[in-house]
Amino acid sequence: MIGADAIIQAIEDEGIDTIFAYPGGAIMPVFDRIIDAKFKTILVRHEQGAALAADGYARSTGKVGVCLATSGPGATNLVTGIANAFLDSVPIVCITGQVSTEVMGTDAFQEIDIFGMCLGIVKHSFILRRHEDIYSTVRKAFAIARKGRPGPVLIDLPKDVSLSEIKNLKPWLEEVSAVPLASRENQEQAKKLLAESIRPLVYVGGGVAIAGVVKAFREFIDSCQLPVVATLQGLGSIETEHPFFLGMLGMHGSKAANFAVHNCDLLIVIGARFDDRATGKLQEFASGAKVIHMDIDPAEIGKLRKADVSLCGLLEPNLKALSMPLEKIPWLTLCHAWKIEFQSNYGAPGDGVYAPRMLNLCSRLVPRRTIVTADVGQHQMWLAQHFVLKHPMDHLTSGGLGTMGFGLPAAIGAQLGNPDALVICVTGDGSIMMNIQELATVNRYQLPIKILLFDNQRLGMVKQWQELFFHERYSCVDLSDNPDFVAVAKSFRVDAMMIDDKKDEIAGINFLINHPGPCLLHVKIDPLENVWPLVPPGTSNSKMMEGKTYALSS
Amino acid sequence: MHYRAEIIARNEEGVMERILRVCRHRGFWMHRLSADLDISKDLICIAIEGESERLPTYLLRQIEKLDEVSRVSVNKGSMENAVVSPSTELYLRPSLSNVERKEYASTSRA
Repeated sequence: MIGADAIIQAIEDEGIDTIFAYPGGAIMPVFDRIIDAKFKTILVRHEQGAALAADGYARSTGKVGVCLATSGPGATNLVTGIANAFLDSVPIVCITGQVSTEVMGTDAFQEIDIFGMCLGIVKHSFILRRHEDIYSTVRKAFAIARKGRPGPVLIDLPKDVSLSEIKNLKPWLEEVSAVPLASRENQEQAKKLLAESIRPLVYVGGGVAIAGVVKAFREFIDSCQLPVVATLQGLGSIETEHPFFLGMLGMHGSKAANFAVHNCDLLIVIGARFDDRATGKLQEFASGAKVIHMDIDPAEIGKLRKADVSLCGLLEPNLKALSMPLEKIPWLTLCHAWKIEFQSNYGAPGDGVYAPRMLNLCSRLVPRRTIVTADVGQHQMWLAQHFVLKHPMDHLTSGGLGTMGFGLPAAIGAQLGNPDALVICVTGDGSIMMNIQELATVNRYQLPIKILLFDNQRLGMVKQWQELFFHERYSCVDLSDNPDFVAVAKSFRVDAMMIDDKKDEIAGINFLINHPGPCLLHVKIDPLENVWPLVPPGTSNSKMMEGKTYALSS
Repeated sequence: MHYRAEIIARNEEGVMERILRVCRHRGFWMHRLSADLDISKDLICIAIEGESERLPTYLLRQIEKLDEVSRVSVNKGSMENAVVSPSTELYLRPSLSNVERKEYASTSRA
């Protein structure tokens, strides 16, 4: 047995069935042993694809994702994916090859200090300098990745260590840490605030899905009968069509959600972190409200907004402790009135495809279970605003880092983790180009992923900001020289078709849903279309901008 | 506002870098730093003095998240006014000369 075998054994003993990888010199001993491994190794076409696929796998399954790359450029290509997982609290373990220990620090071929580079974007990291530590360290890495607030862990493996002979694997026992729980006293204080409030509002973030407590959260909401607003990562924690759900809050949030936040007198923050995209101008965010903040991470409590009551610890006991019937009928009635008054209007002028309408339609026609991944930009916001969701793990989106190129590799990870689900990657013409090489991976493994590509021949979100805040001085946003995406997809042996007329929206959706294998639907949309509402930077969420819709109207 | 942080952590590769990076990234400027291993060399005791516009608890919460860190305290004030907890003295290296011990003591005791 050699060091590489210990790596494989540890991954197998963690119950991992799939890893995402790209080989190279320094990691070759591991790739040799992988041939006989019990888990499946998915060869991607760029290491960034491996990290993002591991991320998508983890988000959609609740398991730890794993990616493997070589030293030097292989490792540095993982960096964006690691940072993406870090900012959205996704558990992944990233194993990188490294040059041999005797030449580490000598600027050897394909040597890079990936340990140092990633210090700011990992939950923890290791350099494996002793072969006898390999098995226990890899097991420990998985434990760290998934415990508490999840996150990425890096393991750097020098080549000579991976080739070293090992006599026995040291047994490993996971440390049992104390279960973090909020105090009974704080729970009682929170209950008192809830009972005394007149306009309580729940602000839910990605933490509910991460903690695996969606059912407990929904029971809490139904028990207390509270209106709910969600962050981008919190969408689906309560069903989109639940009567108490007011929509996403924040920069591109719904008017009903933002008005509810502005007018509430008690904000119950559950698994959310007061991110600037959600709060707008922080000093004017729910300025009249007291705050109950529930989170597993003590560093988030009070980081940006002081909590009147903090419930730091596991979410489920807190949700159960606070569940009680509250009859805030006038407030619920007002929230509902806002929801009706500001509901979306899909009657855009023009004969072109209107992306919000098409996404809404699509969400009503897809089967259960459908997982949708997003890239970054205008399409991402339209998806968040208009796609009807039933569960937060059905919506995979790069929130914290906003990584263009996330959508396709994440869809690959999601499809492999959920073989029976319909997986749709919603993307734009800018984003798809960032990891388009992964169409080769889709074809190689015949993953029946459906790609819904909205093409406005622009870097749409950047164009929108230049239009609104830079006096229409458009800089580097013109993508009118895009390739023929249908031809590109077909060159990767992925079937594809194009639509540009609203009468083809249903046919396009049916093509996606019913196609037996991977396919791409290229949808041409109006470059003038913007995302509304929009809260300008440094402004209160109550001051939302609205604009026109076009859909290629003249 | 001036702050003083005392951290006890497992002596593992990169622990100093990790802790110092957190201090920098979270907006805490460092003026003084000392670090000593305990007798077994398994633990490192780090004392940092600096300034920041943020409250000390902000830094404390971020440092205590680090996997190697077993104990951390962050208070307002400087090292001259610090009180060294008795237990940290046990972690001084026996190889420190008497002169070095005296210097450490004079910067760390009220």
